[in-house]
Amino acid sequence: MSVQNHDPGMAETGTPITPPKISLAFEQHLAKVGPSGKCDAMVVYRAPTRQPVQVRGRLRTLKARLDRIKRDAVGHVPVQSRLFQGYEKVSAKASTPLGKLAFSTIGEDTLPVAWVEVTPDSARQLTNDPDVVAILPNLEIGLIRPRKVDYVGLGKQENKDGCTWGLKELDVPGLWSKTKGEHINVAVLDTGVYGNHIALAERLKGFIVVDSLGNRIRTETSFDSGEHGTHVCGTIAGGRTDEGVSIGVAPSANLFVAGVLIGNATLRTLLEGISWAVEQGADIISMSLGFPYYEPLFDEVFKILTDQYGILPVAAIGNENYGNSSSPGNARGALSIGAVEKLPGGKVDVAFFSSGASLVFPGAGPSDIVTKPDVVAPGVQVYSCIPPSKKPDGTHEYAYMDGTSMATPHAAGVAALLMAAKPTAPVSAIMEAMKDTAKHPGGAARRPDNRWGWGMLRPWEALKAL
Amino acid sequence: MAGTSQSAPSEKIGSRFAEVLGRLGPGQKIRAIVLLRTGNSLGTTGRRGSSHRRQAAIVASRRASEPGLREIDRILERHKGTRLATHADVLGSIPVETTAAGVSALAGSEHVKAILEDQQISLLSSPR
Repeated sequence: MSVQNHDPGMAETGTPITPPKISLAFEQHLAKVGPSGKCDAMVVYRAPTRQPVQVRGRLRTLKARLDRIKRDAVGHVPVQSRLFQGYEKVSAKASTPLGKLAFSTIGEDTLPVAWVEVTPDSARQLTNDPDVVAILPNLEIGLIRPRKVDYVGLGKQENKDGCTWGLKELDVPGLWSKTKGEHINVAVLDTGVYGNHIALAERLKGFIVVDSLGNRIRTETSFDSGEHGTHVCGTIAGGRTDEGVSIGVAPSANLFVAGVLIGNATLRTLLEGISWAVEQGADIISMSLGFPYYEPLFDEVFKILTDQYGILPVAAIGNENYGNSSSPGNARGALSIGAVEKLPGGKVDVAFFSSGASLVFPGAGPSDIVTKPDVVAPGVQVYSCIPPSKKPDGTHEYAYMDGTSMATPHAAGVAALLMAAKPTAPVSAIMEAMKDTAKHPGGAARRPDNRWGWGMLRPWEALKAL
Repeated sequence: MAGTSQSAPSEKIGSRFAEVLGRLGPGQKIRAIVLLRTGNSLGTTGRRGSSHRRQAAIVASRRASEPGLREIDRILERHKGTRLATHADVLGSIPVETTAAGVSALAGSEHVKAILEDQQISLLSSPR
């Protein structure tokens, strides 16, 4: 069943593409309701256009605004009446055992919106009306409450499993009989790393600090200006905690860490860090960082990494929720990572904060849209190592963190396992295998989208595909 | 696609950076990263390989950036700009400081693939 009002395209002619009047999500919901089922919806219709009001001063602005609202409401009435008359005929013919389809105005017609009951067929007929702009599901709304997180329960389960929930979800320990990421160099561009952490023993093979002038500063010991970089490194290549919990996806991979987020940092700092990583022989570069604005031309850097040096750039897509994305994770050539969380009952879903958007790249054809993220990986309640932190209850060396920053090292670690297992596979093949074998809950037809991308990583399947 | 050999100068500068340049006063300077066209002389498209091959690719990239650097210097001299590093890095990037007119002139060079603002980088914002 399809009730989407597809625009015939126009991409070829250069005219704007009209968005569908029914979202994909609502379309799916209607399909579940069945042909004779009905559900509540809101119809947004086209209001008559008016000249903008010219006013000065706050009081005059307020008065003028209220007058304008009343005039607009009066203008909405004929459009709405015509829609209702038409819908009454549709309703009379509707084959629903649940009776006629109801509809009503909302408030004093201030907004060009009406409430209607729809069936899949009546919704489709509504979309044919040129005055109908959109049909939305009448969703339940609620307060956004902080969710209580049961870290104690999660910790006990992870102790029992011998690994973090993320590693278990990805079935990573099962892969370790084949490889643990030996001889694969993963560069991490971050806040630095506390390389003396017991969980990172023998993993750190190179460390450098890059300042805002692009100077490479070598230090006798590695350090982390925060906790972020150490946590990320632990997820990529960390070993086991004292309780026997494995935290790292590729515990035999080599880490090369550039502290590029220490003090004032600019693109020059990042490029110097990337250059250093190339010179160190990096196979993968993991970046959980962002720019203030979208720079499409940064993709040229990723092209150089993949095409010229055979390096896989892995980048976080951002934590600004659905409809947004962060640079450089939204560059076409990056393997962009979104975050999933484990819900009660064992279900896994995309975390509310995980960004995702589709972008049209300059110079590209009208239909050449890049959909991000590429894949998703565990990014909520991720347990990993941090620099020792003294607290009233003792010294903490591990912590839970949330974010696409935490999902990204899971993906970098998976890529390290695949590269170690398939030393001759080109970087494009590694990237394609990770995307192609990822699992989208809506099935293959629904991917990629801006929540799951191509889906949740499945390392075993990716390995089989290579 | 931006950055290819057929790119017009305007396609070598992102729209947001172009806005920033448009707001600069005459003679006001800005820091930018110039990406030089270094090609892929080894034809290593996406191939992973030995450290020997990596080193060869690095050497090839540095060598390929040299003609571009000479032209960059000539353009910067005309626009009172300066190069902020002695040589291009392995990505073929070179930081510069120059005026908006200087950035525009650099974009006109066939050796230049793209020019990016030397914008701030930071950790991603925390999930809210």
